[in-house]
Amino acid sequence: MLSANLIFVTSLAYVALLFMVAFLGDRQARSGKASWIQSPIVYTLSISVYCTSWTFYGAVGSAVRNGLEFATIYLGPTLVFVGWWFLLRKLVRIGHMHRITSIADLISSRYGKSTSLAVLVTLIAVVGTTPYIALQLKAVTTSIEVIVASDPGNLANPSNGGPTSEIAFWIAAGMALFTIIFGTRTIDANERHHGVVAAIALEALVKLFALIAVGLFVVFSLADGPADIFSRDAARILQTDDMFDARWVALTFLSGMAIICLPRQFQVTVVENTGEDQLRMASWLFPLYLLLMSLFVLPIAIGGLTVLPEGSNPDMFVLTLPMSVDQDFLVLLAFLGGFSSATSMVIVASIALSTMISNHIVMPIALRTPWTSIERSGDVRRLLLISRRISIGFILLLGYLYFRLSGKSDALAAIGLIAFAGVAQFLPSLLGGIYWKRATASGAKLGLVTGFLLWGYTLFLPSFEGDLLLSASTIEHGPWGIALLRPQALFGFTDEDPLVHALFWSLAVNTVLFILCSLVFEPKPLERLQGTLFVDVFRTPAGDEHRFIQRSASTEDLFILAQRILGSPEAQRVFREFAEGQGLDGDFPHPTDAFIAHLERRLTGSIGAASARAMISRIVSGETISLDELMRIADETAQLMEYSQEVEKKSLELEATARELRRANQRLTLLDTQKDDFLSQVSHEVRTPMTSIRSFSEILLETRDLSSPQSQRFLSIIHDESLRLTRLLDEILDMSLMDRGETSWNLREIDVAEPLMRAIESCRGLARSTGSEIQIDEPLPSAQVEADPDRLQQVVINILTNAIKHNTSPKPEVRVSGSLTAGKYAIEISDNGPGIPSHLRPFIFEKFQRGAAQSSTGGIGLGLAISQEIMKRLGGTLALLNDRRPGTCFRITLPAKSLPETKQHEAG
Amino acid sequence: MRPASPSTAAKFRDAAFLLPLAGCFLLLPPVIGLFSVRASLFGIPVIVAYIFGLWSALILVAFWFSRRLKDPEPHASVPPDTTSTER
Repeated sequence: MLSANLIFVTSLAYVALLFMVAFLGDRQARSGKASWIQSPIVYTLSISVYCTSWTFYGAVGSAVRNGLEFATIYLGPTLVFVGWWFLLRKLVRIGHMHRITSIADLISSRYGKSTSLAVLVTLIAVVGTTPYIALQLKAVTTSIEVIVASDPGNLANPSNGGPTSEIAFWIAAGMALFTIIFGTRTIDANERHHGVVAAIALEALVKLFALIAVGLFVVFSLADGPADIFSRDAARILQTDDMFDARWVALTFLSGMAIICLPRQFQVTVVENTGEDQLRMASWLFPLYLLLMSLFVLPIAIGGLTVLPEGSNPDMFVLTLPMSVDQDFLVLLAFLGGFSSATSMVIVASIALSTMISNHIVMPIALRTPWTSIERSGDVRRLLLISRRISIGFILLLGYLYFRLSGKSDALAAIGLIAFAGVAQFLPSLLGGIYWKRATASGAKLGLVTGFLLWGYTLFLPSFEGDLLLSASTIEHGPWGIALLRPQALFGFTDEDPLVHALFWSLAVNTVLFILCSLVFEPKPLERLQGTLFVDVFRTPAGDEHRFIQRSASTEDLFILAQRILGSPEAQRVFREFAEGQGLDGDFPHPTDAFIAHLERRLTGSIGAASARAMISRIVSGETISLDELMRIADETAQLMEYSQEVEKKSLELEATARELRRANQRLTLLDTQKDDFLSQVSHEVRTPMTSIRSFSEILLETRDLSSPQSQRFLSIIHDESLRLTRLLDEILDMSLMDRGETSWNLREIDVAEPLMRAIESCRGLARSTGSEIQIDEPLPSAQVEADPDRLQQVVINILTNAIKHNTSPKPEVRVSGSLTAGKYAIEISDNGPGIPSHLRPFIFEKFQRGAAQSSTGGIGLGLAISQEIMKRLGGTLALLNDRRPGTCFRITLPAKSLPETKQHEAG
Repeated sequence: MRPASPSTAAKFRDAAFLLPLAGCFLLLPPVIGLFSVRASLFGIPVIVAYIFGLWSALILVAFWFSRRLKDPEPHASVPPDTTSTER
């Protein structure tokens, strides 16, 4: 059994240790050696001020009463931290860029640096946090009472009264002293409180170590491993049947919000952050810390229920379990763990609140009172430091009084979640502010006030059960007996849990009013500017505000102002550095827009955005906020994207054009080669008959004594050759006319069989002269086609002539057949000649190609080319068929309609 | 941080968005209700094993992501901390 003295000595020794760690941390950081203080691990440990004594002791009590519900308090923050990339990272970035000093400062800065909004948020934070501080005092005093005043046999009923309030008072006083010494060394809240952070990190380790030690003791010493513990009475504790209802969702949501909105969490996560890498590690290390903190909650709860006598206070199981088996060291450790949880919360919360009170309440009042116009160096700075110290004392005193007034009732136990729900009212304005440019200050104010009032009416006041403002009967029956206005069943919502009920009404009304009011009222220019800078924080280069705000001031006035707030040496340093940046020799930079903006941001880090703006505004003149510039910046990204899309489109177009040009060029080159070939072929073809004509006419001219038959023969050769020449020229003319599309076409509806028969008849003479025979397989069917009959006849004659002329077989024969199928008339002309050698087949339709060696009477090789061109013009085809019989087979096709009455054309 | 192509980085950013969503989906009703059964796994009730197992998985994935997430906008890096040295 531990004596009271031992507890006090241990507590004092522990506090002395904290002072020493804080002192060393501060000194090391100042001498620039303490890189470990800025490490991500220390940052993560400092975030664990989230785990207060309410979670250290209370989680077990919560597990006993509500089973797994305690886990939601840790799961919400886990979800927020694993999603750090989207919310926390943005908050931290905004915090750095705008030198945010507190959550009130963030909200006020976003909504046009509004002072009234800052005051409002500060008041809500104080109202929500003071009971929470009282809860910590109660937890510590209760733990001392439990250890000191009760013997193991009487754990169920620890004695009340005694020196409780004195203990609480001295604890509060000690914490105030610590916080004042280490929390208000500098006025730049943006700077890390290295000593405090070091102490908080140590406390985080102590409470984690203590809870794990007690847990291990319960699981492996009192019981026989985890399976044994859960086999004891797990089912009663877990109550799994109706666990996962609206309250589960609400609590997860609520604790997730609290990790952002609680002033102390905002302080350690955003304000004390020095770089994104810290957050990167905290994103998984902090959830891991929470996991370890909650790992042994269930075993301790089950152990307490089964080992300790019926009726023991479950909130103190962490202490009473080791006490029941006289594990003095473990008891001491557990006590220190709870003490750590309480002190770290109180220290950080009072730093955060004192910053808010001094920046957002004391400063604005001081700015409006006449005595501050005695403008001396450092006067504002002194005022701030003093007001912060007084605020810390004031906050702890308030917490102590609260504890004195309500310490006896059970109302305090529930205050943890009630405080969460109170600060959750910041969420709509906070999220709306960093993701929605249109959100306005009036919307934020209206939403916050209404949400706060509803929270007070439906949750906070009823928690006193009739002791504060609302009487018990009002809570029961509604004000003036109006049942619809009952605080815990507003408008007839009777079934829900009071917390879910209050959270639903306050947040829903808060959000709706915030959005509606923002939509109805136009934002002021400064709100619009800040909205754009906040929402687009990742796209706006740092320190860019001066592009939008034009104003002027004298350097002297600015310097006097800076001196008052920062103190002389620091003001001189800021001015000299900026002058160097401007390339000037002296200590005074030009008072450009950029410099005024820089100075305002620097002052913001000390006194908050609203006060800094108010002070700067007193000495600048002719301020204009350029909305055009703002719009331009907002659109810059969009323009950039548009521009790059345009460039891409243009380059695609260019590429297509280039491809088209290349293709045209290839076609031209090909045509040019073809023309050259054609010309040389034509000259060659013309030259042969010309040569023989010339030589024979020379013979006739020069030889006088030629016999008559001889000259007759020469003359007939000349005649033949000139005929051939004429025919050649006719063909070339025909070809070129057709190529240029200048041939006259005599298109009309005809029966296709008629020109066919005419062509066959006209070739019979030639056939007879070579001994060939033209056979028509079957009577050619009639069909109506639209064609030029003379041209069609020319094609058939050409093919028939070729078939007759080039046929070298002993019994030459040409077959013609016709058929009409599916709107297509096909004529096949085949012979039993030698056929066309396969290597020549692909080229026979080209100009100046001849199927076989030139026969004496043969054409010059344009025939087939012309024929194919004609058929193309008539909408049909001319093709050489492959591999039928020996010999050659051509097929002519034409689109046709069958005639109603078929006339049969017999072979003539 | 290891060098990654822009598309891989974008993939991780999208996945990082999905992680808290998946956590909400699995930790809130109705999904969590599926595991609220009176059975145990190696002596530990299924629901307890589920919550703590899922929790550990979230931490592991967050750990894996934390080194692979990076900014697509290099120009908007955190401004150098220009806080003063103490007077």
